[in-house]
Formats: sequence, structure tokens, C-alpha cells
Amino acid sequence: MGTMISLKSLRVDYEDVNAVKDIDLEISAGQIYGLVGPNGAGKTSAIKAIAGILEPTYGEIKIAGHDLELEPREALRKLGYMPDFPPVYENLKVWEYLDVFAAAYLIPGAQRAGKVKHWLKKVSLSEKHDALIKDLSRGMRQRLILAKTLLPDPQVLILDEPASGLDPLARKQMRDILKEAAAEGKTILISSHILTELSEFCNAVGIMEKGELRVSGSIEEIRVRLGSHKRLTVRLASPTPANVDKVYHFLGNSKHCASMAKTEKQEINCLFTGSKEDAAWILTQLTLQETSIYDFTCVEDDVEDIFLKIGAKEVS
Amino acid sequence: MNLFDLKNNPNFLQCWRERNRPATVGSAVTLLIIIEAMIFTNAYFDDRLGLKSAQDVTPWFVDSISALAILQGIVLLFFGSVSAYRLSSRERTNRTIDFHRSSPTPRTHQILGLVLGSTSLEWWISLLILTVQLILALLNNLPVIAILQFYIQLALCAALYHALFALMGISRDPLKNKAGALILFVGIYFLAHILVANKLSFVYQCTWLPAYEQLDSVLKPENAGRGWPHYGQNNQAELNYTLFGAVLPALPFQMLVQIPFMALFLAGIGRRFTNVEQPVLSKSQLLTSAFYTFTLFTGSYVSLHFFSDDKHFRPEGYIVSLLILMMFFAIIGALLATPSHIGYQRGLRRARKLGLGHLNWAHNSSSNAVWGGLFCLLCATVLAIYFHLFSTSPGNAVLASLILLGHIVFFVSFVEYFNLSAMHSKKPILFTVIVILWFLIPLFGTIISAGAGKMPTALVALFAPSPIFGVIETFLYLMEQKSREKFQNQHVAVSITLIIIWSMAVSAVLLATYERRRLKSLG
Repeated sequence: MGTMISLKSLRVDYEDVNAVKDIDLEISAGQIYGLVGPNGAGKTSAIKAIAGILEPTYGEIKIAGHDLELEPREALRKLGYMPDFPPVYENLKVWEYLDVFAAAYLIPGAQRAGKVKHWLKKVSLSEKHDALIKDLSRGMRQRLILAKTLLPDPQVLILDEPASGLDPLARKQMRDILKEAAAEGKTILISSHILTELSEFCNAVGIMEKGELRVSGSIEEIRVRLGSHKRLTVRLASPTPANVDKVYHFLGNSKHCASMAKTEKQEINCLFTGSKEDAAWILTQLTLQETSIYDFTCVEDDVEDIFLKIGAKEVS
Repeated sequence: MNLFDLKNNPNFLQCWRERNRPATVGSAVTLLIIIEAMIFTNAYFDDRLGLKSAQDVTPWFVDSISALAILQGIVLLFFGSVSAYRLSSRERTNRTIDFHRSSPTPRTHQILGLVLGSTSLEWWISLLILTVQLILALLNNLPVIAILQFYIQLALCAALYHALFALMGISRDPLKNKAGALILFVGIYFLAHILVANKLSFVYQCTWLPAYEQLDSVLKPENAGRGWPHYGQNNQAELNYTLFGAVLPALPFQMLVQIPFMALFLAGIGRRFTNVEQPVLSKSQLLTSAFYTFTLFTGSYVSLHFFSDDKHFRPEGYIVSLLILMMFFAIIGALLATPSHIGYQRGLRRARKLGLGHLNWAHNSSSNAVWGGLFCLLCATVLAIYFHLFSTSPGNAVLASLILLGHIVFFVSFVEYFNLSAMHSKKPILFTVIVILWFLIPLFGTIISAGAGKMPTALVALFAPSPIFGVIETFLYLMEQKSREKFQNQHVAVSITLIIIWSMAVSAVLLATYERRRLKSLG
């Protein structure tokens, strides 16, 4: 897989603030890369520099092999950018707005109307085709911007907090659209501080804190690097003290379980280091002991867990 | 993509669609018909009912064409400029400029689209008026070429104004500098008045007056050669078309003056699209524009100096204007050419990363020292021409140059010192220091010396820091004026003046150098 986004020693400074500190990053084609970090970590500055909006102090940015400083047109042609706040022309109609940006990405006039209709349908704004943008809600505007970003069919998508202002249904719709785009081989760089939003579909993450890229790689790589474990949770249908103790001691005696804990709801949690087969064996044994188990889950660390392990506490 | 393929120009499409909705177009056309009907009716009845003066033999259709020409001027120059400003500033307030900056549309297309699109309504209204004018001319056997030439000249002038106002609009940062565009506008307005007060041909050619004058002289031959405003004396009308003594045809002269300034403003818009944080003009653009303006000024002045028939012609006003123009360029140039605190630090880091000792002098993040030196050299060269014209003695030429250049060096270095120092975020301090040095202390001096014939020599210390005093003193030495003995001991006063100005200048240079070194050592 070729590298679609490449950053070398990227640095961005503001007045008295070093927003991005010499970060190096490579994102391959087809990857959905989540840029995670608390507010003020430098995510938006990094994203704006990659999108060509903010001039970095120094550093090399390449989009699909094109240097953003030396070949800006070629680089930007491959890139779609969606900011956190939807900038719109209030007095344009919805279709006109998309048409303007289709023209900005050099799409010939004859193809523009068809593309506009297609993307309005995709983001469920077909019935707003002739509405003025000033009459759209914040969520609708955000969907319109998503359509604007995807319309030129860019190879690289840069999305800064794309779900802000969207209702749950629209969020799901956006996730589906982005998954579809990734399946088509597009590279997506998405920033968010809402970690659950990312964990479902990112296959790589970078965690930023105070301008530094603290850790970066595929979620699996990071789990291995951090010595990440699975979490085993057992819930009982009748959590009598005798039942709970029985399960607790059984798990405590297993070589695969560590850091045992009981919650107030009488759930039993532990870190699990074994394989799937080991988990299945434990479940079978617990069932044979008639412990009335109604829920037995063994999950790996998600993005939020990884982030918290690294130590950033300010995440929302 | 063709530059003039406006159908596929995103910025043009956006502005065009927004400004040319059926309701807006309907209202504009209705209003235009009403105004034209009023013009025709008024001209026709003035003619038929004998309401005009006995000497005025102009037929109604000629009056109508002239009135329509003025209407065209109002539509294009006033309403067009307002629209260019409004739609350009909105790109910043809406943050839609970010989308254009991250799109692959070439910068030239974005600039052209914005300037033409934002004024599209005014352009086609002016074309409708032109059509009516041409019909009137054809029906009455008037020269169509004159009307077309007027339109071309007016269009050129309108394009210049639209570029300027679009630049001011896009320079208006809604978060940081709400008053920026207003200050720029007031500055230009103020400067224009200083220059217009003199009859300099290049200033005249910056306006649409030559266009109207050409049309007027063809339609009303009795006004030919009288110029606008109708001076009715000496050869001022001819001198309005003269540069370095050479008479130039109206359109080429207008192009010579307006196109470079238009290119400069368009380049400024381009710089705003590229990076909103960088100064609107680069150091090299500032130097080039100063050089070109001084050249045009000198060309216009030389024509007056050698060829004016006006018996009352006095060069004093022009020389003061030139010196004010130099200070104006120095002030605007220093504010634009001096890197901000963070900008300078960014430049240092960038240079270090690239393994360079320092960035090129013309880089936005570089010190203004080289720019300041080159600007002083330019001013000294221009002054040398005037020393030659007035046969100034070498001693006075040196004194005059030292006085003006001292003020320029002080301001340029002081701004750099301020921007690089720890006070950089407290702009009111800079403003206050300048107001105290330039206005309040001299005002205090004026008050205490009021009524005195010859002032005590020591009082010069209160006036010396002000460039207003500097301009006056420079002027007096340049012109070899003998009546300058305002102070009791003029020679001592001059020495004190020079010591004060250059002490301030050298101190500012040293402070700026210290701050540069301090920031370099910080890493």
C-alpha cells in the first residue's frame, strides 16, 4: 500500500504556543486513521496544516506523493477537507453550494448536476435541493459539508470533528458513508475527542497530547506495544454472595486472569491474558458449576482504553 | 481551465448566483428604467421649454448621454466598490476562504472570480446603460467610438477600484482587526487628498475624470481642452496628460498608471488567499510600489516644473507632498514589512531547520533591516533628483537627507524592536509612544512657544522627534529657504535636531538588534 499522507518534522507555532511539535506520520492508502487527543492537543492545527490552510513553521507535508509546498494544486486535488465548523454561503441554495465546490475541484460543468444530486441523496438532503442554506439546521449544514467534501471523489479525506452538531441518526449515517468510502480505498484522517465515535471504524490511531504525537499505529500494534490485555466481565442472573464468591475464586485461580475486581452491581471483572479457547473453557467450567451466568464477555481494549492508558485524562 | 472560463470559476459562480437572483435583477432593471426615463425627460424638457442658459446649445440627447455616463460612473465606481468590499470581507467572516484555500483552483482564477463575480451586477447594469448610450449616439449621428472609449477608460478605473476594495474586504480579519480595513481606507483617502490638492498628472489619471473629460470634449466641442475641473487658465489640462514632459494619449497613460496598481492590489488578494496571516504586501512589493509611485510623482512634477504656464506655480506644495508620501510609505511599509514576534521566531526555527544562517531578506519572517536600508536608499535617490532640480547646495542636501532618513530609520527600527520585544502583544503601548513623540511633545512645544518671535534654541528638543517637524525642516533645506530662522541660533538648532533624531534612530536600531539577538539565543 502506498503512503497517502506523509508528515515529516511538522511543526506549527502560535503566539507563545507550540501547537504541533515536530511530528512524523505516515498513513497508508485505505487506512482510517483516528487522530485522538484532548481539546488543545494540536489536532486541529495539524489537520489545518495538512489541508493547506495553515502555514506550518516548518516540515514536509505530502499528499498522495505530492509536496503541499512545492505542488499545492496536485496535492489539494487529491484532498477533501471538512472542518469542525461548517463555513457556508448563507444566501446560496443547497445545490448551488455543492456546484460551486464541484467547480472548485475542476469537475466539468456537464457532470456537476448529476454528482450534486447523487451526494444530496447520500446525505439525505434531496428534498432540500432548492432550499437556501440559511434555512438549514446545524446538523443539515454539517451533512451538506460532508457532501461537499466527498463530491469531488478525493483520494484522501481530512475530517476535523465531523460529527459535531449531528444527531445520533445522522452520526450513524455519516459513519456508514465513511466506511463505504474506506471500502472504496480512500484514506481517511479523522480527528475527534469523542473516542467512541472513532473506535468503531478506525483501524489506526494517533494520540496527540500537548502538540506531540504520543503514539501512532494500528490499534493492534498499539495494544501489543502497550502490553494491552482483554477484559473479562461476568454477570450473574442471581448474584447471591455465594455465587459471586464461587465465580470470583474460580477466576482468581485461573492463570489467565489478573487484577480481579467486584463491582457494586456484583459483576466480576478481570484482565484476561488467555486465548479465545481459554475463555471458552472457563465459560464451560463456570456453567457446569451452575453459577447462573447470563453474560460472559471478553473484549479487547478500545481506543478509549488505549488513550486512558497513555495517560491523557482530559478526554471528553 | 481557462482563466476567463467564468462558467467554471467557483468564486465567480458563487458571487454571480447570489447577486443575480431574479428578484434583484428585476428590481435593478426597473430602477434603471425609471432613472433613465427621468434623465431623458429632464433633458428633453430642459431643451424644449428653454430652461437652459442662452449659451448652452447642447441638444437633449447629448445631455442624456453625459448624464448616463455619470450614472455609469456611480454604478461601477461606487456600488461596484461597495459590493467588492462586502463580498470579499464575507469570505473571512464566514471562513469560506478556508475552503477555497484547500481547493485546487488556481489562485489567479480565485482572485478574478471574486473581483468580477462580486461586481457582476454592476457590470451588466453598466453594459445596459452603454447600450442605451450607443442607441442614442447612432440615432443622432454622434461618434460611437468616443462612447466606447469612455466605457473602456471607466471600466479600467472601476477594475482598479474594485481590486482595491476587494483587497480591503479580504484584509478585514473579523477576529483580530476589525478596524484594519477602515484605517487602510482612511489612510488612502487622506493620502489621495494630499496628492489631489496638487495638480499631479498621475493622480488625475488614477481617477475616471480623464474618461469623462474625453467624452465631454467630443460631445461638447466647446469644452475641448478645458480639462476637468475646467481650469480655464494656463496649460493645466494638457499637463494632466504629461509625464516627464511627454504628452501621452489618455488611454495609454491611464493604463500606465492604473494597471500596475491594480496588479499590486490583485497580488495582495492572492497573498490573502494563500495565507491570511501574512502581510498584504511582501517586502519586495512594497519597495516596487514605492519606487513606481515616486517615479510617477517625479514624472508628473517634472512636467509641471518645466512646462507649467501658471505664473503662480509654486513647487513648495509638491515637495511637501513628496516628503509626506515618503513618510507614508515608510510608516505603512514598516508596519507591513516588520515580522510579528511569532513570525520572526518561526523564521528563525525554519532557517535553523533548513540549515541556513538566516532567511532571505524578502521573506515575511525576516527582519525589516534590509528592507529599511533599501527604502532609505530609494528615498535618498529620489531626493537627489529634487536637490538637482532646485540646485540645493551639497551641505544642505546632506542635512535635508539626514533629517528625513533619520525619522524613517527610527520608525522602521522602533517597530521591529517593539514587535520582537516582550511588549509585542500590547499594541496600545506602541501607539501611545508614537503619539507622545510625534504629536503631544511638539504640541506642548507649540503651546509654550506661542506668541514668541524667535524661539529659545533649546525648544527644538520638543519638536525634533516629530516627523512633521522633520518634513518641514527637510523641505526648508531642500528648497534652500533662507527664512527658516525660527530658533534663536539656527545652526545650533539644526545640530540639536540631528543629534536628537539620530540618537533616537541609533537607539532604535540597537534595541532592534538586541531583540533579534535575544530571540536567536532563545532557540
